[in-house]
Amino acid sequence: MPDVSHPDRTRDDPSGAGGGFGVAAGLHHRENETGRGDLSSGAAPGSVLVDDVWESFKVYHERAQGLRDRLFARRKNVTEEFWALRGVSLRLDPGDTVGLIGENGSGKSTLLKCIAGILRPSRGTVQTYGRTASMLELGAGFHPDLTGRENVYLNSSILGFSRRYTDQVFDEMVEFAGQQVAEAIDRPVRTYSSGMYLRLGFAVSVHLQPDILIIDEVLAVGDAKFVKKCYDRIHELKRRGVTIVVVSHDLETVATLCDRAIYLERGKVVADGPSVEVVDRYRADVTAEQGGAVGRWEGGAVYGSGDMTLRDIRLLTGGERDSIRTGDRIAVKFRAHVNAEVDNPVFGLIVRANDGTYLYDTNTLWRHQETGRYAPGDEVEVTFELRANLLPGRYTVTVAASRHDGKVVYDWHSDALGFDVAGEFVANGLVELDGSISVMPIAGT
Amino acid sequence: MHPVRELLDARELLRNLTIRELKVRYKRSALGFLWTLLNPLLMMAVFTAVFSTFFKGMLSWFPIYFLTGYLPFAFFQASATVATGSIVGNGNLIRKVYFPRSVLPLSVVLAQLVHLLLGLGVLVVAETIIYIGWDRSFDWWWYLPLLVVAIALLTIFTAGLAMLLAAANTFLRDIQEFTTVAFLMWFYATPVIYPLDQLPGWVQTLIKLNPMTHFVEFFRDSLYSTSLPTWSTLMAGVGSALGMFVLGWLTFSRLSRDFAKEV
Repeated sequence: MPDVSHPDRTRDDPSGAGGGFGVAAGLHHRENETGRGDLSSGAAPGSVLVDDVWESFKVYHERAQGLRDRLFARRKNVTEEFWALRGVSLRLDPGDTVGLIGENGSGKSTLLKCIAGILRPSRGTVQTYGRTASMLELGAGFHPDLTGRENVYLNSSILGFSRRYTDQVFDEMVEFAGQQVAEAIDRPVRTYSSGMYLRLGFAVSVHLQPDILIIDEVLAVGDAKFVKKCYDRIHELKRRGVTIVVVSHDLETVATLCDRAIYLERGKVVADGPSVEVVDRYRADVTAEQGGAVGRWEGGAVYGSGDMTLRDIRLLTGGERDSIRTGDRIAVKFRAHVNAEVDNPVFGLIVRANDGTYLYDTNTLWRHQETGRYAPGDEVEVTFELRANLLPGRYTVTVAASRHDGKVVYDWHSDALGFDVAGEFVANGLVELDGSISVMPIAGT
Repeated sequence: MHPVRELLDARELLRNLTIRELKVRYKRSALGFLWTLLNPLLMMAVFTAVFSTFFKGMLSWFPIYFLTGYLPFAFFQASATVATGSIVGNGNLIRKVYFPRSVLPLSVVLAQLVHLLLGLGVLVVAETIIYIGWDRSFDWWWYLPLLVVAIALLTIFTAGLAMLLAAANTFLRDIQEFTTVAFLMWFYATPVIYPLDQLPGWVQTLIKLNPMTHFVEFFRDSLYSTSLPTWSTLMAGVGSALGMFVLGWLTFSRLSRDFAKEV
C-alpha cells in the first residue's frame, strides 16, 4: 500500500494500537446496547458478538401504508409477524472472513443488517467492537446532479469517513475507478455510463479501512476485470486482518473468499465451520430438496443462422435415480429440425462449471464423424453420452449445430441446461480424478 | 454511544448533506441561487399589490412588514415540507448503510437556514437604505441580539417538527399529502400578512396559541417595529421551541430503529 492510505490516527482510533491503519475520523458509532461495545471490556477491535438475536418483521398482506389501511386494517389483523431470525448466537474474532449462506428468506441478509446496525434486533444483542462499515452497491447515495468528485466526498462521509481521510485516498480511488472516470471526475455523474457509475461507487467502497467490513452481494455485477480488481482489494483487506462478513448467492465466492461459513435456515444457524465444508453441505441439501435439480435452466444466449433449430434439449440420468452423483453416466439429447439444405452438419456440446469455467467441449467435427445430408423438414435426434466425472456443484451444458466446417453456426444454445452433481465431500474442485490416498507405516523406522 | 454524541460525530456528514441540498436545488436552473432572493421578492410584490391597500394607514412600509414575517415562515414551511419526505426519499441509503438518521431531516433545515440568512441579509440592507433616506425608525442593528435569538428559537422549533414529521411520515405516508394544506392553514393562522392587534381579542388569544406567532413577532420586533418583546412572549417562544425539539427528537429516536424495515 502506498503511504497515502495511512491516515493519521485520531485519539480514539481503536485500531491505532496494533493495526497500522485506521480511519482519520470515525465511522459512525452506534448506541451501546446493540452497537459499539466498550473496548475496555477486553474484546479486540474487529470482534462481533451476536447473542440470541431474534428479529421480526411485520408482513402486511396488502402493504398498508396509508391512514385508512392503518386505522381499519389493523383491526382485521392482516398484519402477521414473520421471524427472520430465531435465536442466532455467534462470535466473530478479528480477522475472520465469514460468509453467510442460505436460501432466500433464511435470514442471512437480516443477520448481516443487524451486524451492520441497519436493523435493530427485536430481542437479543449485537455488539461490534471497532469501526463497522458497509460496502455500498452501485454508488447508492450518489446524486446525479453532483460531479464525480462531489459525490465521492459525500459518499465517503455517509460511510463515516472524514474529509481529511478522503483527501488522502482520493487519487487512489479515482485511479482504481479507471481512466474513463478520472477524465470525467468533475462532470455530473448523470453523464456517466452505468459502468463508470458503478466503478466509482465501488472505488469509494473498497477504499474503506474499517475493522469490520460488511459486504452484501455487491460484487454480483460489473465487468470481469473490474470485479477481479475489487476481489484483489478485498483480499488485501483480509490480509490486513479486517473482519469481513459477506452475504452472497455465489457459493464459489463464499468458498474462496471466506475461511468460515455460516449456513442459515429459517432464521437459525444449522452449520458453522470451514467454508468449504459448510458450502458443500448446503449444496447437498439444496440438491436433495430439488430431487436432483435436473431440468431446464433459464439458459443463456441463443443465436444462429436458423438453417437448423434445436429443440427438446433434455438431460437424461442413468437408471431410476433422479439425481446425478459423481461418476454417473448421463446423456444430453435434443432434436434438430432442418430448415434448409444441410450437408454433414456439426453437432457439439460444451460443459461448463457454474462460474463459466470451460470444462469439456466435443463435437462431431473433431471426432471425424459423418452426420449425413438433410433437406428442409427433416428431423434429427442427437444424443451425447457422458460420464459425469464431476465433483459436487452446479454445471451447465451448451449445445450447438453448425456447418460442416464449423464456421457458420446454425443454432447455438448457451447454457441450455443446468444440473447439480451431488456426492460425498472427499475432494474440492471441479473434476473427479479418482484420487485415493494411502498412508503406510514404513517398517523398521 | 449516546445519540447526541453520535450526531456530533456525524457533523461532517451533516455539513456535506447540507451542501448537497443547496447545490442540487438550483443546479439546473439558469438563475440558480438568485431564486433564493427572487422568490420572496416576488411573493412580496404579489402580497403588497393585494393587501397593502387593505391595511392602508395601519402599516407603514408594507413590503418590509410582509418580508419580516414571510421570510421566517417560508423557512419554517420549506424545511418541514422537504424534511417530511427526507427519510422515505433516501430509502436506498437507509436500507444499505448505517449512519445517524437524524442528519437527513436536519440537513434540510440547515440548508433552508442558509436561504433564510441570505434573505435576511438582503432585508437588512434594504432597511439600512430606508433608514438613511427616509425613516429613522429602522435602526435594526440595536436589536441584532434579539434577531439572533429569534433565528435560534425558530431553527430549534423547526428542527423538532422536521424530525417529527420525517419519522411519522415513514410509517404513515398520508402525512406528506397533508402537509400542503396544513401549512396553508398554518400560514393564515400566523400574522404574516395581517397585523395581530387589528384582530378581535378572542381571535388574538387563539392565534397566540400558535408558536409560530411568537417567532414571527420576534422577527418583527427586531426588524420592523424595533421594540422588545415581553418576557412572557419570549418565555412562550423558548418553551415551545424546546418542547417541539424534545418531542421531535424523542419520536425520531424511537421510530428510527425501524426505518430500515419501513422504507
